[in-house]
Amino acid sequence: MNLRQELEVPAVSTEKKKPLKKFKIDKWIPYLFILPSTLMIVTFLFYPIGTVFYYSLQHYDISAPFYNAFAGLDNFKKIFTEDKLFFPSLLTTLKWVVSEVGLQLIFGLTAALLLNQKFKFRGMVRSAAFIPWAISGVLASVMWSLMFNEHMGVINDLFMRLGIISESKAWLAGSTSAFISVVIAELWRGIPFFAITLLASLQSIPEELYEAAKVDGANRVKTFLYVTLPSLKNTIVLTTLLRVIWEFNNVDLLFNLTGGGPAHSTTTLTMYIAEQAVHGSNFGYGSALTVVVFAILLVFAIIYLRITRYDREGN
Amino acid sequence: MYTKFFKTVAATSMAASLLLAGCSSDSGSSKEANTKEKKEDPNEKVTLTFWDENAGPQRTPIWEELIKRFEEKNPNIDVEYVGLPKDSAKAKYDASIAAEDTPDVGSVQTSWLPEFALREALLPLDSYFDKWDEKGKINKGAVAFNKEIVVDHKLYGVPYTQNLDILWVRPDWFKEKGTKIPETWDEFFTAAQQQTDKANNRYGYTIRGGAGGSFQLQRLMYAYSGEKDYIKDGKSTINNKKHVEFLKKYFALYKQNTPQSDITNGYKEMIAGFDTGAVAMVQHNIGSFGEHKEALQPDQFQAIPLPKTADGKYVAEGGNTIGISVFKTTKHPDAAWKLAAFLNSKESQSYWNQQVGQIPTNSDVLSESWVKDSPHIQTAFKVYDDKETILYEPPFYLPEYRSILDTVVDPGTQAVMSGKMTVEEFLNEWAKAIEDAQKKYDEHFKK
Repeated sequence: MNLRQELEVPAVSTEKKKPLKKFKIDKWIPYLFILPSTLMIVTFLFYPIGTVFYYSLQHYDISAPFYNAFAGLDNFKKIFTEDKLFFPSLLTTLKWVVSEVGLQLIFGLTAALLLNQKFKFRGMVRSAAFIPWAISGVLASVMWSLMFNEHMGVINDLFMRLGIISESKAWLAGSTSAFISVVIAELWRGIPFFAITLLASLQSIPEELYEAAKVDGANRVKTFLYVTLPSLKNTIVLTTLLRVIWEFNNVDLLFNLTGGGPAHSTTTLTMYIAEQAVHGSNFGYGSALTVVVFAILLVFAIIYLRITRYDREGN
Repeated sequence: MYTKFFKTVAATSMAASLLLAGCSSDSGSSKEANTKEKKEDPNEKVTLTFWDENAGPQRTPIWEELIKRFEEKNPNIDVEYVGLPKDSAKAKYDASIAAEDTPDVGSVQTSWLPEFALREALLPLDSYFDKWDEKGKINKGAVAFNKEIVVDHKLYGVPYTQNLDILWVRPDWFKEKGTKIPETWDEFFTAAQQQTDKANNRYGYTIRGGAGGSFQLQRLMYAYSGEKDYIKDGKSTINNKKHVEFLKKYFALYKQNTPQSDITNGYKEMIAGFDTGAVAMVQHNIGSFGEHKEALQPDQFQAIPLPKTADGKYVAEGGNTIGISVFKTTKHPDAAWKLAAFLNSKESQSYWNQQVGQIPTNSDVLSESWVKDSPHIQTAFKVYDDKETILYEPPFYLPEYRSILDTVVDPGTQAVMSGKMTVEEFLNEWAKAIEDAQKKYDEHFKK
């Protein structure tokens, strides 16, 4: 009895200690902390994105509000069936993204490998290599437009001295040369992005791996293929994904150097959206184009991350 | 876990929408207050916003000086100057009207008036203008034109300057070669060839192939054809035979007698070509006088009218004026009108037009000596005062008019110049865009 009583005491006492139903501030504190940022995100990100989806279903032209009306899927129908510029712009975008991201990755990786070596004035060379990244798009485009200039551009001068061309050329005036010129300008600006991130990743590869490779008799190429590249995989996947989205949406250099011309030869989808919505003030159609771009990028991101099995093997 | 997450998102969304709704209801009440606020205390301290549609190092200081003078005369009114770059000014106005966040007063091109009036963005100025003691001095034709082109025939802009498209030429080069400055279109094409000397980096002409090139093209086409109507019985005259003929000759000049980079030329590049001595002739308006004056010697530039049509007539585009408008959202219409009237006064018009080099609309200024001593303004008078001159009127009232020029004509020009499109295809596309816009307009407004 005594024993049972002794045993029952704690049971009774725990029942008595059960908390009363009262407001628990602790439970809400995390939500209160994230409330300001959530509000900001909802207001400045979700709400504008929502309006883009909403306007994509409307005829919405700010210079002709009296024509505004619900459009249903008309804008999308027009994009895929009537619009003569949608598919050419999509093709230009693909050419632009593939050439930019591919070349930037190759040159960026090369620069990172070089800057990872030990040599004199390495710090200075590293800083100099990252300068293009710090220059604003507008400044870079002014600089490049002067360099490409038909009458006083340094590129013409250089090529003429080297005997590559015999008379001055307007590099931004021809369909092909304009595209190549802008690709070069953007390449110059984009290489440091890959160089910085890949260099940081290179520095985090454990030295033991290289030592082990050396012991196993791997040469430089094999070390690069079986140690360096696999260690960089996650960084490469992530940076290329970011850069693809970035270049897909890029407008500054294209807008300032060629304005999408001549004759739409450098009009990417984003430039086309700017032309329709900003110049043409047709925000309904521009929104529908934006929704299509969003869908393309979303599908690409999902497929890309699946194919590359991002984060499954590296970590 | 997920339920909690969605509850949080839902709660924050509601809070955000309440926040947004709060904003909108607030702006609604202030809008109401605007319309109710009719009577103004003349001594009340007010601030007006003024938008300039062609800001830059040349014109901004002129407006700033005029605003300074106005503020000295009206110490209770402060004016905030906002300069818009020429190429994006229309888009900025469009966005501000859509957001009901317009300035109090603005410099507005006449061609924008019909659209702004349709969108009910502007304040009718008739009652103010009728009471104004200088009203009789403002160019009656220009005022009547501004009323005629808007849907309700009210006065929405008081023109302070008039412009004209002309050719700027290098008289010294013509003298050097012993050739004639062109008066006819044949002479123009011959001169473009004669003045070209690629070895010395000299070209006879420069084409505006980039932004804004559509205006140049349209004005040249009509000057060549002498066509008075832009739209006849629902059909656009853009693709008529004369225009096809002209553009074939005109685009044949590209690369042969013009710089290769012309295909991407905007206003600045085109003018720079002339002012740096690379080009013998450029089509623009008398408003670029200031730039030429700074870059060249007086005997190195001259304004000549666009060549006459085959039957000897000058052609000019109607409505080539810029006016001062007051926007409906202003809380201080009386003060806004005061500024509008000041900017159209004899002194202000004289100062502005003399600096820029355009034609004043205030008759008192026309008798001033600088007007008589400005050869380029006299050239403009030669065209405007000629009774035979044909004034054609583009469909400014079509809401899509401007966007057709920007998104169909400008890229189309480049397509023709780069050989991707024929002149016929280009003009047919342009004509169709205008006809479609006209049809849509008729269906909506002339039911």
